[in-house]
Amino acid sequence: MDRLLFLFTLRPIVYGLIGMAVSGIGFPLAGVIIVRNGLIPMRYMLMHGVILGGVFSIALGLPLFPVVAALNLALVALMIAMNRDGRTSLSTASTAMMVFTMGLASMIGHVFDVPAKDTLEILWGSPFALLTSDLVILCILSVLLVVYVLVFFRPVSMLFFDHDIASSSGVNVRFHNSLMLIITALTVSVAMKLLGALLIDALVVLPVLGASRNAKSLKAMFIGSSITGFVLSVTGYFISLIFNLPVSGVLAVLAAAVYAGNILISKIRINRSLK
Amino acid sequence: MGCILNANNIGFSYPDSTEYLFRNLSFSLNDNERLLITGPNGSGKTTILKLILGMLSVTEGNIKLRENLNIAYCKQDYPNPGFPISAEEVVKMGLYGNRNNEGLAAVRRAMERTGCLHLAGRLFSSLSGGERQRVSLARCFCQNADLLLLDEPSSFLDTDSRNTLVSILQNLEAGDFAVIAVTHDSAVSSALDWKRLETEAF
Repeated sequence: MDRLLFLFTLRPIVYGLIGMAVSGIGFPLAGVIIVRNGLIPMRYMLMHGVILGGVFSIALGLPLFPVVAALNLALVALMIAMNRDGRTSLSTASTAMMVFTMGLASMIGHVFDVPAKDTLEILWGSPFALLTSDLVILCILSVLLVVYVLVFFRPVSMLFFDHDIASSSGVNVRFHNSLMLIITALTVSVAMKLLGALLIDALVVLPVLGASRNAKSLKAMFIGSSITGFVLSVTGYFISLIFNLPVSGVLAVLAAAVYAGNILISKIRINRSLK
Repeated sequence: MGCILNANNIGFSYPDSTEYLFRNLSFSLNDNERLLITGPNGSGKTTILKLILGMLSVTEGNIKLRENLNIAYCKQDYPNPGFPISAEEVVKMGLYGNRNNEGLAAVRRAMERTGCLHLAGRLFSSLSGGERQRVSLARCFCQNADLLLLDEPSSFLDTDSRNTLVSILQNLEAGDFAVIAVTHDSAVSSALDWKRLETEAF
């Protein structure tokens, strides 16, 4: 206990807790957007965008986050352009972009002699490495996510239900789709700093998958995902501090366990109601 | 009674296709008028609705809609079965496009009218095809639109549900709204004494 109390006198530990708590509430909202809009392939593309951005920033000695965020926004803009006439699906566009980003990352890494070890470090983030500026960006993004969902709940729920119905009812589908893609790009870029490119799903997608199994409404799905994300990220953070384990790994295992538990509980419920 | 829609010699081909789905199609619709578009599968019936909605663009000709025309659209199917939303919430979606700012009373009224008020609390995904169609019609009624577009409204319906649907369509009051219904169901088309437009497969 004394060790834990001592740890919380250190700024990186406090920043880490704030970062995990705030993103635990906000980021699963982006996860709902990803899951409901079928943007999982795009999320993979953004992860590869993170790797390309990382290689690019190491090669040119530029700050990591702005480069990664700008690159991911550019990739999303390209995807929107490819999807504009409706002939190329977002899934196809993101697959093409994913291959492109990895190819480019490989070439830049080779030309600028970027050490593979440095590149791989991008794949493992750390909440202890958050700077004040990172924390501010993270809080702003989380607040923006909450505000977006609260203000545009009705059109967003209509879009999730059916694009054609939303469009015929007067929802500006192109505006909301573009905004949701941009929000997703920024969330993945920011989440990378916390958990690393490989384990973003633990904070963004897994809480949603867990909460949505038993959700009876979209409102319940949003609220349940945020609560699950918050509880998982804070609990995971404390477990990692107490047992001296990597936060991203603990959170990923915890989130996967909660998801598996959710499946088990709902199966038991179904079996009981059938008897 | 004014003209709300005028389609003049319209033709459509998909961007990657070298063939027209249909050509030289003309029709118009006045306030509160009903139009039944019939024809075989693949003759472009649903495409006509999407052109009216602006989801697709005509390849030739033009479609003129009255300014600020409020259009409600009832789809053939809903490919999002796992979405957690109640029947009442689906009907409430109609309020988004309702320019009269009617509240929940309009939702209740619309659900009573299509006989689905008792389904209000049920998950939309758990409803049968006929029940979903009633809820979707209620959403359109709730929108208080000038024009209602129905795409194959009898798809996936059993005989009882189809009879109920036909009865609802037959009992639309004169001052409600204009309707364009697309169907290849002869039971529906023979039961409705509406103006007709036949499409042909090219």
